[in-house]
Amino acid sequence: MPTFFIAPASHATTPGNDTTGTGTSLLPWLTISKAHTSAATGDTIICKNGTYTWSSQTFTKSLIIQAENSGLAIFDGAAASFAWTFGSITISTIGIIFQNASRTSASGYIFTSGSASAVVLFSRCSFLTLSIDGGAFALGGIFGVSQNAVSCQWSFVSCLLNNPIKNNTSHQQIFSTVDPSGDDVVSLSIESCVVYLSTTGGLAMNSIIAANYAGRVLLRLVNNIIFNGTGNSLSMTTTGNSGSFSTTANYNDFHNITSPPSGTGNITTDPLFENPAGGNFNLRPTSSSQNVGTLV
Amino acid sequence: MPVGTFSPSTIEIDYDVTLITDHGALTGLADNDHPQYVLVSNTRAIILASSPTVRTVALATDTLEMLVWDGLAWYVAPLELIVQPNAVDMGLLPPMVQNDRAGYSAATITDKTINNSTIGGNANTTTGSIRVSSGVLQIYLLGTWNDVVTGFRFREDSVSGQYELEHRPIGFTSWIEVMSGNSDALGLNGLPMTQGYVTSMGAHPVHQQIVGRTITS
Repeated sequence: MPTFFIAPASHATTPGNDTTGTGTSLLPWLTISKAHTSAATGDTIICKNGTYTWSSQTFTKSLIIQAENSGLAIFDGAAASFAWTFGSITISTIGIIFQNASRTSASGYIFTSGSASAVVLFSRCSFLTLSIDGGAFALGGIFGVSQNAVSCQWSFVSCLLNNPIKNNTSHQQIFSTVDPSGDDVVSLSIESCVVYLSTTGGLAMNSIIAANYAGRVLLRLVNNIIFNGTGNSLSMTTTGNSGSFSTTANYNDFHNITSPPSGTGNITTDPLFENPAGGNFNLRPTSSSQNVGTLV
Repeated sequence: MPVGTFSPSTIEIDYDVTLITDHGALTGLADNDHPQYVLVSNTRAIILASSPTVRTVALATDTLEMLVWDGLAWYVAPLELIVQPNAVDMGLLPPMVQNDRAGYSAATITDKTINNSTIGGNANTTTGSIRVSSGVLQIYLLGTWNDVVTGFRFREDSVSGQYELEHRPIGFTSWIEVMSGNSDALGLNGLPMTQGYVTSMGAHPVHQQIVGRTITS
């Protein structure tokens, strides 16, 4: 499958340009939107190093969106409100940092597969200071689905979610799912990730994952560190209006999490990050989360 | 001669109702006095002992031979009978065409490709027998069942460019480099998620540490 390139306008050697670019490494495009329009299902879009303007995009083609160098392609939302929406596609996002977005929408999400039967993978991605404001509605989230007669699958592998916050007083969560039809399942796998909750710049989230309005979540948690640094009581999962979970949780550190899921190898001790306030989530040598995970 | 009227109200007849089922037991008949027919018990010996009056072809049920009586003597017909079990599903059988028979014999199959098949259990303990036992593929060699090791590959490392022997333990999805025990998958800090077959929690694997010993002067 063809590989195309995008680059920020500030790229030192090959700045991106949607008009004059051709999608090659030497003449990359500027935006994901242009790449999505030009690419075909199955193609790979390589994001060169630098900071991109992050804005709304609806994906209708199965794509791999990958940083040329992991952690050096940054999509910055400039605190604006927008969403990435995935259709009934398979999309893999690898090695990209998403930061500084604020979704203001009733029951809105920053990343969503809506009511589509999507397969979504985030691998080695960081989500930094993303906020949600659902107003009076309690169904919003950083990620979310609102199913209708479809099932979908979301996976997070080796990702960092640092300081997800809300800006309203109603109930908000990191991952929200609703299913008015009540007959579908969200398969949600979170593996080897760090979720670090604080209140910097906003209010504390109410839960990590919520199943509302008959939403059913098949949840798999392995080798994660979920750290609640908000000072508030915070649950891993919440349900409402007949929502439900089927949870497998093994070898996780649920620190300061209310009623954490049970399973094999789970602990609740402080993981002892090096410097979370400075964005350093390496484990100190004395961390009890060290060397106690499982092969995956 | 006058003809009278016989009008009994009841007639009773006494007779012996013993049924005769043996041909030879009938008065005036012998067991095998219709030599144009082969006896029901069509064994090879009985067939060869008979002398039909007309040309006859008979199947010896004990030897599966086709026997031909030409009016003077019995001959074994040069025919090959292929016995097919009820569930034959190999090649184009059935129906069989001549070319499909090449490579098949009672004991061997030669130069055929087996598709869409599953290896199951195997009670044969001869060299070269294969089976799947408790989820493990095994081959019988040197008088014992040996596990066939799976989940290994040689792969060019994307970083070092060198070929590495990698192992994916049964039941897991990650590939592990055999010599170091490190995974292909990297954490956000660039270190292998698994090092020395040991995994930490979170997305930032720790540096592999050397366990030192006491250094004395």
